[in-house]
Amino acid sequence: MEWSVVTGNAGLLAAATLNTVAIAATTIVLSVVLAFPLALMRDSRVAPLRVIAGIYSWTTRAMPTLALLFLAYYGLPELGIYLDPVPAAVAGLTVSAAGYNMEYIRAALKAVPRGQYEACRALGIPFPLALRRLILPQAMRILLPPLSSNLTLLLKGSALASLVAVNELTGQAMALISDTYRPIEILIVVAVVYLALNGVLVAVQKGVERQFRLPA
Amino acid sequence: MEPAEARRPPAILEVHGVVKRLGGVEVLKGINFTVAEGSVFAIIGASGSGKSTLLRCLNMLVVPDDGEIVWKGQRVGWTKKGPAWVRQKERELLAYRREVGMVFQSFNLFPQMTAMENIIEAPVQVLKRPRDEVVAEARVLLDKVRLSHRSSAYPHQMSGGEQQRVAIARALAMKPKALLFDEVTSALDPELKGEVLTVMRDLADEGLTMILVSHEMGFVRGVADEVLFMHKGVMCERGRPEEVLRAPRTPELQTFLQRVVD
Repeated sequence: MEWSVVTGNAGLLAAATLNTVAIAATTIVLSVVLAFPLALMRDSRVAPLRVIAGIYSWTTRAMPTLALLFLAYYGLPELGIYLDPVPAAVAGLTVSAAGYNMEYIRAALKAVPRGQYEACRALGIPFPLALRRLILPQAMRILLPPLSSNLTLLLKGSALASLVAVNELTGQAMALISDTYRPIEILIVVAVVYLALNGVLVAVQKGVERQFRLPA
Repeated sequence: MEPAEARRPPAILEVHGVVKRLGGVEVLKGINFTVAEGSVFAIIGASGSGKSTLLRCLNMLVVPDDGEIVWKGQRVGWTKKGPAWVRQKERELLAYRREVGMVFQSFNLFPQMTAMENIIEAPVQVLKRPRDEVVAEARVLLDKVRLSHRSSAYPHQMSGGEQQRVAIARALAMKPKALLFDEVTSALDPELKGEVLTVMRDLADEGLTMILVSHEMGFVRGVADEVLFMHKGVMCERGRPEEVLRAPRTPELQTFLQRVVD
C-alpha cells in the first residue's frame, strides 16, 4: 500500500468531500420539501393538481437522473438559464429525487388508517391542521425507513454531479486514480468517507424515528 | 297521524328523502325521519342494510346524492346563493360537524397521543380555547366516562372499552348538540360492552340528543325513544321500541329480531 497518494492529496479529497456534502445535503432537504406538496397533489380532489403531480412522478422517475442533470446543465442555457455546475447538479438531482420521495410519502399517507382521517373530519378539524398534527406523525413512522433508504442512494448518486463538471468525491477520486495509478488506496478512502457520511444520515434517521415512536 | 306527534318537542334534525348510491348501487332509497331534541334515536338492521351509510350522511362524512338533511331548521351541506343552492365544500361542513359529533366502531383515537391529549386536541387547536380551561373540562369528562385514572395512558395501553369511552369523551369535549354512535360496541368483547353502554345510558339520561346504529337490542329497548328498522336501504318500520320490537309487523323485522335475539 502506498498511502502517500492519499495523504499527499488530502486537501483535494477534503474539498471534494465538502462539495459532495453540500450537494447531497441541499438535495436531500429540497427534494423532501418539494415531495410533500407533490404527494398531496397526487391524491387531490382537484383533477388538474392530480394530473400535474402524476406527470411529474412519471417523467422524473422514468428519465435517467443523468439525463436530468444534463438537461439542467446543458439544456437550460438554451432557454437562457445558465446554472453553475453545483446548482445545476442540485437541480437535476432534486427533481429526480422528489419524484421518488413523493411516492414514499404518498404511500405513508395512504397507510394511515382511514378511520384516522374520518375522526379528524368528524371532529371538525380542518385538513391542513389534521395533516400536520395528527396524520403526519403517524405517517412518519411508516415513511422514515424507505425514505432514508432513498436518501442514502441519493448521497451516493451525487457522484453523477462529476459529469456536469462538479468537483465532488467520486469524480476527484477517479482523477487521482488516473494520475497516481493507485486505485486501491484511493477507493478505500472514498468508501470510508461515504460510509461515514451515510452513517450520519442513518443516525439522523434513528433520531427522528425515536421522536415518532409510540411509548411502550 | 299519531297523536304522540303533538306532544313531542320540536325536531332538531330532519331527514327528507335521503338517497345515496355507492358504486352504482342505491344503498339508501329515500329515507325520512325526524329526531326530537334530547331524544335517543336508534337505527337497527342487518349488515348491508345501509344504516351506517345513513348515519354517515347525517354528519356529511358521506354526502347524500339526493334529499336533504335539516339541522335546527337549516339545510345541511348547502348554501343559498341568490336563487340557487350551492353545495358546501368539505371546509364549510366542519362547523356543522363540531355540533354533531361522532363515535366510531373502531374508536379511531390518535395513537400518538394520551387519553387527555386526544380529548383536548380539537377544542384547543380548532376552537382555540385556553388549554387550562379545556384540560379542566377534560378531567370532568374523563370522570364522567369513569377513566380519571387513565388520563396519561396511550390508546394502545388501554382496553377496547376504555378506548371507546375516551373516544366518547373526545367527542363530548367539542360540546356537541348531538352525538352519532356508529356500532360503538360491535368491536368490543362482551364484558367490555357494558361499561360503554353504561356511559351512553348516562348521556341519554342527561338529555343529550343521540342517534345510534346498534345491535344491542337490550340497550335500544331500554334507552331509545324511537327505533328505525332498515332493510336493503329502505325504512321498513319505525316507532317506539316497545311497539316495534315487541310486535314487529313486517316479516323482515320478525326475521331480523329472531336472529339477534339477546
